[in-house]
Amino acid sequence: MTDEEKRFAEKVKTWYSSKEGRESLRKSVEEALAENKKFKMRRQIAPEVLRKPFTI
Amino acid sequence: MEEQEKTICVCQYSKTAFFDLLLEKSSTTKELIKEKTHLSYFDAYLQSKYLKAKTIVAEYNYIDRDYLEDFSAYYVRCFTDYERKCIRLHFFSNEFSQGDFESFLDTYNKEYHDTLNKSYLGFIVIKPLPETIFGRTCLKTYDERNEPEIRRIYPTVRDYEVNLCGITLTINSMAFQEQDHVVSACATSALWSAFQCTAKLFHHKIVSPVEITKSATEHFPLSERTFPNKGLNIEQMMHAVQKLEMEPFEVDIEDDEYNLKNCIYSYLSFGIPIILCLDLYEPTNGKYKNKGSHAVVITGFRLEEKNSRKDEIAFLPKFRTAASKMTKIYAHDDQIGPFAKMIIDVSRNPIEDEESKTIKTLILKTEWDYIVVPKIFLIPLYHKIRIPLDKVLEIMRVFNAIINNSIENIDDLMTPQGKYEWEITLTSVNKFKEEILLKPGGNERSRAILQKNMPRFIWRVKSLCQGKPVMDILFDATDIEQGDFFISGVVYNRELFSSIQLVINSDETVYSYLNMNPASKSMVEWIKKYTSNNL
Repeated sequence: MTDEEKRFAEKVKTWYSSKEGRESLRKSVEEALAENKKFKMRRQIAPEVLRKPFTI
Repeated sequence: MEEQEKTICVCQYSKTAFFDLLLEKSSTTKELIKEKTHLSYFDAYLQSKYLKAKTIVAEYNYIDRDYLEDFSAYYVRCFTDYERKCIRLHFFSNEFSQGDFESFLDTYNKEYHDTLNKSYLGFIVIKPLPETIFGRTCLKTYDERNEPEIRRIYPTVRDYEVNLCGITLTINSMAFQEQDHVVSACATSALWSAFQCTAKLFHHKIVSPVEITKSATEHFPLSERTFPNKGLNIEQMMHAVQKLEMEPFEVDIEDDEYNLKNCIYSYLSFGIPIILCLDLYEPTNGKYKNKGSHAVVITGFRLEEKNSRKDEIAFLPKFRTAASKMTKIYAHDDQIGPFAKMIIDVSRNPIEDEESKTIKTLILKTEWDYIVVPKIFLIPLYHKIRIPLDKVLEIMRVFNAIINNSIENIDDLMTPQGKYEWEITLTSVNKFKEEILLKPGGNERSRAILQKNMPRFIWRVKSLCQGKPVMDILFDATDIEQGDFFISGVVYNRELFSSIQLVINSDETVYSYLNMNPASKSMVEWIKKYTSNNL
């Protein structure tokens, strides 16, 4: 590992060991999981839609 | 000497010349042809700055395979004598006369052949029918000219070889044809165009409109009469897809801009056309009225680097995929023509219900007065493509949240100067490996990727930071959802990858968030353990 990498790794470790860092990470992950639900593909198509003819 | 039949006619391109040729073959009236949207669309398309048509070559007595199938299945049994031969109109961007063309046929010249091929813009088959005259059509797409911020992408096009009096010409396009209201309605025409691409991609036979309508309706004998066909429903379209040993993947995209763009980007980029089932709204007395349901096939899209839409932030708060740059889609709409433009619009919606309240948010604006409300996507997939796009999106969204959290909060020289963007596309092992092979600067790592056994279909997630590729994450698209469908990855930018690796390795909490399913776990393990010596 280079010195630059060591310094960065230390900063990352310090950030995620702090209460603020953990809270911020938890919030980001929760937002992502909420987006997973919000943007879930709607794969169930109602039977009346499936049987509607496309005629134009 | 035997009198020769008229076989070839060369004339200068003009709307009038085009119109006269249409009138000559079809058994229709001037008024009917003038009313057709197709005529204006084709003329505007051919005269656009991208094509600039100068010459038409009319090839008389042309036998078109698709029309012949329809003719033998239906028209030949009518009391009226419908013709079985068509005219094929070829368009060129250079000018030449009948004499020039005939001289070339008399004395072959390779240089002139190349010039003809270079200026070839494609063809339109004119069917000898009373109204619905536009048969198989392959026209060149618009190219890019001095527009670095705009990318028009047509992944569904392929080379069609054309033979005109022994001259081989090539056109890169995707076939289109107008519905004839007899053996095909809009849904059949959309499926026919889509199957032109999937036949090449998944190696199934190319079917004619009459065969599609027959296969779609064979298990629905009591619903409607098969011919004349008034339209198919989604169940029937799905059945036509299954008959060719593919599986239909359907998504409800009404008011869902996010999945509309991502599905188009991810599936279409591999060349899989998408059938868009929609409601069409027509302006009547200052209001938009529902005209009915229609089906088109999406053939391309446009990305704009500076997508200045105001709702962008609300639409994609954190997870930025390349699909978010999509501003327009191109569709083969049998009511208009090939590669017809549709503008994605959520900002202003003119559709109101009876109480004058806006009822829809996501619409597509067409080049004509109509507007479109997208309803359902029907994507014909090879049966082995089992992992859906949303499964990949779910994994990468959490991963992105963690990486971007470190970018936002850690101030360091190693922190990337911009957020990550993700290009998620379906691809094949052959296509992926070919790209790796052709990439300059290959080494033992790329050789190992080329030699690695991989499944036929792959989900490829490319991460980009400020436009620079950082890494590829590869998932097996043929696996089952509960399985470990992570395959491997490729690192392009060692420095930026290292910052990702250090974030993942930093803390058990970070790791635990990514331990959401076997594929996500394997992906993280791979990132953690990746060194310059392993894969």
